[in-house]
Amino acid sequence: MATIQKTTKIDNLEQEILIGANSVKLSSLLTEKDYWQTNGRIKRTILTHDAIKRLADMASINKAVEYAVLTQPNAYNNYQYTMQAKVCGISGECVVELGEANRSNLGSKGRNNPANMAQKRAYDRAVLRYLGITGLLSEEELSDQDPEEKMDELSHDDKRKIAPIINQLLLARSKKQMVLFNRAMKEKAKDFSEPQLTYLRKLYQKRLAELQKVSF
Amino acid sequence: MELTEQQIGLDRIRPSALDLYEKCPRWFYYKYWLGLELEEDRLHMDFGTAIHEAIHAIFLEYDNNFGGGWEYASFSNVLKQFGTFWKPNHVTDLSLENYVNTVAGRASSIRTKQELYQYFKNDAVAMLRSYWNEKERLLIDYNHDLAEFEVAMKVELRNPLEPNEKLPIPMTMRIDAINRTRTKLVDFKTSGSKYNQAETRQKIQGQCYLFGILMETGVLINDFDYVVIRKGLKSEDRIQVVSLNYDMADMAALYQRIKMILVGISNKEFSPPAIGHSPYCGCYQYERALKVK
Repeated sequence: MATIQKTTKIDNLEQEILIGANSVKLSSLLTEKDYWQTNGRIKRTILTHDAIKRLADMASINKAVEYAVLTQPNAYNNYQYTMQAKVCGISGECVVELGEANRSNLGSKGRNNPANMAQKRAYDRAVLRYLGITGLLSEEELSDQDPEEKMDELSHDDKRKIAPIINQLLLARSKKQMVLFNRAMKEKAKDFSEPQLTYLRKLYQKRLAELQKVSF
Repeated sequence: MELTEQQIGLDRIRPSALDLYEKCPRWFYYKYWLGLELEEDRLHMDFGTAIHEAIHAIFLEYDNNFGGGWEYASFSNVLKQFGTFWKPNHVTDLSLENYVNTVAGRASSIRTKQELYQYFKNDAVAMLRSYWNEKERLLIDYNHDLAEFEVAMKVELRNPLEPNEKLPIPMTMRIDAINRTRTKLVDFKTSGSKYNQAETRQKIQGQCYLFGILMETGVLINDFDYVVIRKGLKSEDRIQVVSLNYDMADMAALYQRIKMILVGISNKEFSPPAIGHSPYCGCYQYERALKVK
């Protein structure tokens, strides 16, 4: 799970939305509990589902949201639920958005209730669209960080391409082997992308430290 | 949507890989899909191989005495064969470290590799002696007149009920033994614990062997026996036979089971099981090894 980072001012929260006839700054409608930022190179501002519901109420969005289940999970669609949410304001203006939940975009918290996750995603997207909020994500968009992401943000195919190199590192038994590995990698490096090399460098340092029996 | 080899990302599948996917897709992902290797303790695998070879020798004795069967057979040849495949270098530092950290290891006085090697050797003699003593009974009661050993196969995966329906990758396997009349397959296991009949029947691995024979010959062998040779028992009786019987409906169900696993792999469903995920699962070893800061 991405962790909370306290910030003093977040640009995306300075946008204005229409509440009734008045244009109001988003930051003035939210408390610190309503949003947070992810860690990492790209910081994303996340709104909680409860905050989005409160914003919808403030904007007098009709609570009787229309939902439709567009796809049921099966083995051929990665067990995906696709839900459609239609939200309407008192003016009669409506917005339709989709929400999907499958085994790849759910973390451990949503894995047991994918229909509910698809519904929340559809609702949150529809409300954000209705209010014209941009640059923010609903918390329901985030899957937990799965352990496989310990290989940073490499795709399955990227990981597979470097698997033989990883094996050399995992099976190295001496510092001398690591030196030879390092020399060979100078030649091979051009075959790999920067994220692949970044991961391999980190794993190399970890293995070297393990072989030297020092803490790293 | 039709499955393709490209989507699956593998050019063949083994029964042990299918078994692992059902246990933990994450572990399967690291081991078979990415093909990552960890330094592993091969002690039990090497020991099992040596036991297999020695049992093979028991049946060679049956056939190699000019028709005299086991009347002229010698148990010392069996032990000799075991000794050819069980060497002191099979016990590594890692094997010893793992062993002394087990409950049995802590309770025993074994603290050196030589002692551990000897312990396994003594246990093997007891296991093979038990099999030797039981061989005639196994032959008569279970039709274990074993004539083919280590049968390697590579078969297409076709729906037994719809032969035109085929999965995109073949299955490769190695069957421990087939009896002379080709009416039974046998798989040997060395294990400290007893096998449960109902649980064992569900195992995908044994069914795959029957399926392989069906695919290759068009003939279904219905009977499959696990011969469990028990390790570390005080009792001299170390043999457990789990007899299983499958029919064509089981094979049709197995085909669908394999298909669903391949669909899962092509969908990149590599999350660990939501329930029943063992805290000792092998996937954690990979994650520890691959984790970087």
